[in-house]
Amino acid sequence: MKALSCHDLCFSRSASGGAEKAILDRVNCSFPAGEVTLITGITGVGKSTLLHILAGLIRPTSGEVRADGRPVSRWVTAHKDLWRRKAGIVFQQARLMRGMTALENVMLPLIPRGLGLSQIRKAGMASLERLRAGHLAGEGVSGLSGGETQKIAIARALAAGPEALFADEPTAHQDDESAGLVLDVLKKESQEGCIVVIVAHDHRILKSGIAGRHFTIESGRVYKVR
Amino acid sequence: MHIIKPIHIWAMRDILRRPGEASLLAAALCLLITLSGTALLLTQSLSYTARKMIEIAPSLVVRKVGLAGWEPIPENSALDSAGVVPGVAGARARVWGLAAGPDRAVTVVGVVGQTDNIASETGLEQLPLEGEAVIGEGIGPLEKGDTLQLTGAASLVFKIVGRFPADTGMATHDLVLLHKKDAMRLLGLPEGFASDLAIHVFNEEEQSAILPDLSRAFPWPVRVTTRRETAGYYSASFSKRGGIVVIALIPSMMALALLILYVVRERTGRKHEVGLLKSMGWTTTDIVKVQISRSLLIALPAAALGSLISYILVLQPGARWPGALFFGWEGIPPALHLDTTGAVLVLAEIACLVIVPFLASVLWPALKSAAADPQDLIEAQT
Repeated sequence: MKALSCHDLCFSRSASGGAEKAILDRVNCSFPAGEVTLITGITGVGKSTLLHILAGLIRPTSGEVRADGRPVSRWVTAHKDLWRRKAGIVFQQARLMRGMTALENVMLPLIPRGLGLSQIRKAGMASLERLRAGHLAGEGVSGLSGGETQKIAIARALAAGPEALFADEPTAHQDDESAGLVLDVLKKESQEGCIVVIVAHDHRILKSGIAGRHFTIESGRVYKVR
Repeated sequence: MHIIKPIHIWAMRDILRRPGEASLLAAALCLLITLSGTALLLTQSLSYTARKMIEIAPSLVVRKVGLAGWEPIPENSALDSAGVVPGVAGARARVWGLAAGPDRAVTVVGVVGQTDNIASETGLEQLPLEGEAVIGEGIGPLEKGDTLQLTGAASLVFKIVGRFPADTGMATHDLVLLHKKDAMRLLGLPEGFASDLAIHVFNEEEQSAILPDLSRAFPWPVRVTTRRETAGYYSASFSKRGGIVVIALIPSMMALALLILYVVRERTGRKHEVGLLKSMGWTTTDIVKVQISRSLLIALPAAALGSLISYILVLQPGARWPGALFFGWEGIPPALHLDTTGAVLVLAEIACLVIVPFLASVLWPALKSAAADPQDLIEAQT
């Protein structure tokens, strides 16, 4: 995949009293492969919503998301399900499956893809190792710290080799060293041809210079900073 | 190509995430299948056993009737009269009746030599001589060499020389086989008289057609019963008992409804997991596959165990409680039997009554959420 782009993208939600509240308003921007894109903005401005629309988790109210010119946001469920296989998502709250180990969580995206169990396990371990979290493989996720949980969520998003990676606050719970590691991994992913979109408040990301593109959201509109 | 795929292993792993819940669900299903399977097996095997019993019964039975009811039938004269009726293939005078046994009334049948077909039909090797008796399973825990006192027109004591094979079931359950002379003394039958006449016809379809000729052939009033009438009597009796079983199934079905409600709620409550899996590239088909595998992993062992328990409860010789519970039988119940068709029918009924609704309750929430956006499902946290 070479690029993702938004075309007059709008998204609104029902507010209290039944009125529609616009979250995103005529968003036009593109996210090329080989470059990390950073989206910033104040809390509740719609950054995560944009990320979820790009990842195919919610449908825009109007407008569309195109992948290499194809209107993926308009696709029917069956096609959209398959489109999501090309995407990796890191949620703001890691959203790991409780009652399972770290490795099992990382293996989850690979299970329905026709691979053998040993291949899945190997890919899962490799993904954990990239985040230097191999030692957590057998640990139950309930007992992990916030930073460890976040690393597992990133490893899960990377496990299937996504063509587009969407990360919501990927360094929020990391110390400086771990944040550096996470950003290195994301940058390397981008250099290997993946579309990487990061939504964050974390100033360490801005300072790192990882982002080739930088958008900010204000009052539902997206502005290009760089 | 491996039959067990990672998606099936994940289904198993998902069960192990909540082992207590899965065990309870399996136990509840097993109990439900045991209850409904027992009721259905009992009806089916009773019907089959009775049908087998009717198959070995004579085509027609002739009894002499008088003002006071049944009367002994003059043996030679009756055989001569029946023999001339067109369509009759053979006639046999039978000596039988009821007598008081040690605990309850028993059916006494008198035989001599190989004149009665009861020996060949039950696989009995030795027929009783005078003073001897062969007994059915329901007579009591008597062994070879024990004595049995029977009371009718006379009170007589017999030495037990054998038991009917257990697999002869209902046909011999409360039967005491005696020598013809002993049976006649016990039942108060005069010499040269029998209880009734068993008639075999050339063509089973002609049973009804020869009835008028047969009735006219005897110089005294007779009542002729066809095999179809006997079958009709049993059929009516089993319909009534089937009704009792249906009533017994109502609580099971109510429990099933509660179980299904629970499963639907539980599955709906785990919507966020479905959303999460979809966000990772799982398709609706993948999710349905996991749900089916997960449910079958719980339901199939439960169904197998439930069916096995109900089979043992109903068809193991000497199993008392289903007959006592559903039909009020007392004492040792008759051994019941089931043919392959009947067994398949019961399994199909169990599948329709329990397994299919259970699977539907699992699939319904998954299919319902198929068209929903993953983020909406993820946010539907309970």
